[in-house]
Amino acid sequence: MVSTELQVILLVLSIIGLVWLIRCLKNQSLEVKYTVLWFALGVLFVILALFPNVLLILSQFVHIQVPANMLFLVGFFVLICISFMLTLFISKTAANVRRLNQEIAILQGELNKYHSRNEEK
Amino acid sequence: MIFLKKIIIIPAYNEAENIETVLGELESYLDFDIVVVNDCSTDETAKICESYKRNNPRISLLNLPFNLGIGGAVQTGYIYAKRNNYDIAVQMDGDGQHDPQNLSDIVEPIIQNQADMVIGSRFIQKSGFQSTRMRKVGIGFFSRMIKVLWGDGYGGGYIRDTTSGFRAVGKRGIMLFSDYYPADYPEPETNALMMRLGYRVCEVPVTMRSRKYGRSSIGIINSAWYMIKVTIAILIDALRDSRGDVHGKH
Repeated sequence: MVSTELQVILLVLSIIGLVWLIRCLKNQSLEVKYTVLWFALGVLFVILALFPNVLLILSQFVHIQVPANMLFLVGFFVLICISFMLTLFISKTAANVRRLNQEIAILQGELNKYHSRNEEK
Repeated sequence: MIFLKKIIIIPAYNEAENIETVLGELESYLDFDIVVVNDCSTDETAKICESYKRNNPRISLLNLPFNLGIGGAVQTGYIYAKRNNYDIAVQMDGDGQHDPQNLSDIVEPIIQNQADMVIGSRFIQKSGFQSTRMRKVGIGFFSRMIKVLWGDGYGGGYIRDTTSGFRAVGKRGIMLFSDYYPADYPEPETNALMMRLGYRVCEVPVTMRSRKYGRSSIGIINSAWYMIKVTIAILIDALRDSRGDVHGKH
């Protein structure tokens, strides 16, 4: 059902992906808590590449005819989770940026007041 | 003897009930400045600190516009220490668990230039609040992990109290932590980091008291997640070059 060529390609690509992910973590371009899902995706593909039977058993269990469809479904689902996590993160970050913006405006106001009071002296 | 500027960094999140006691106890320790980092508390913490500040010029108060968590709050303290040229920075909790009587013991090895970081460990003399059994297992796990990774470091590399937030660093530590400090559960990871970079780390016995009011921010469900996150963080840090800087670069 899954050709050897596909297995090899999948394995090589996922290992390259994981190595690159670890490299980014090493250099601190990424923060650990946001990478857990990407790591899970990579490990999942490595497992499926090495043991294509797992995919077969899973797809038979949910009565999906073509195992590749199972692969798409799982990959799709993980990507949706990652997207949602990112949405949550962006919402929180936007709120924080708004807060910082306001704080700076208020600080500037107080600083100007302080300067003009000093100039009057 | 050269005069060394010393500062105590106190991160505080909703510690209105405890912060009064903490600041009150520290009043008599005149050779330490204090910076309280208010991590966007929703209670009276800031107000209480303001009133103490008015009567005591050694106290500074930093109010974070939004909550950063313990790592971010403490790092703010280190940045403040760096900007104001402090030589020694001591971390103390805002909940009253740390006894100021241990302050001189904690800074002494740094003053004597025998260590870069001194950790106040509650397990050396086993006096005072010893924490729950579950937490002790977790703490021991990280001790062994750091020993396995960096065991040939200073002092045999066996840090007993890996989650202690009662610790002091010298100028090197202040520079390092103001640049890089983990956001979540920073104590074990920074211990591993110091060992990796070859800094001298030692422990002194301290007595910890159980927290008087309020609840600890680490619950039971959080504990398992905590163990996993910190283990991963330490392992990733272990991948970095021990001879390089924080990021593993030369």
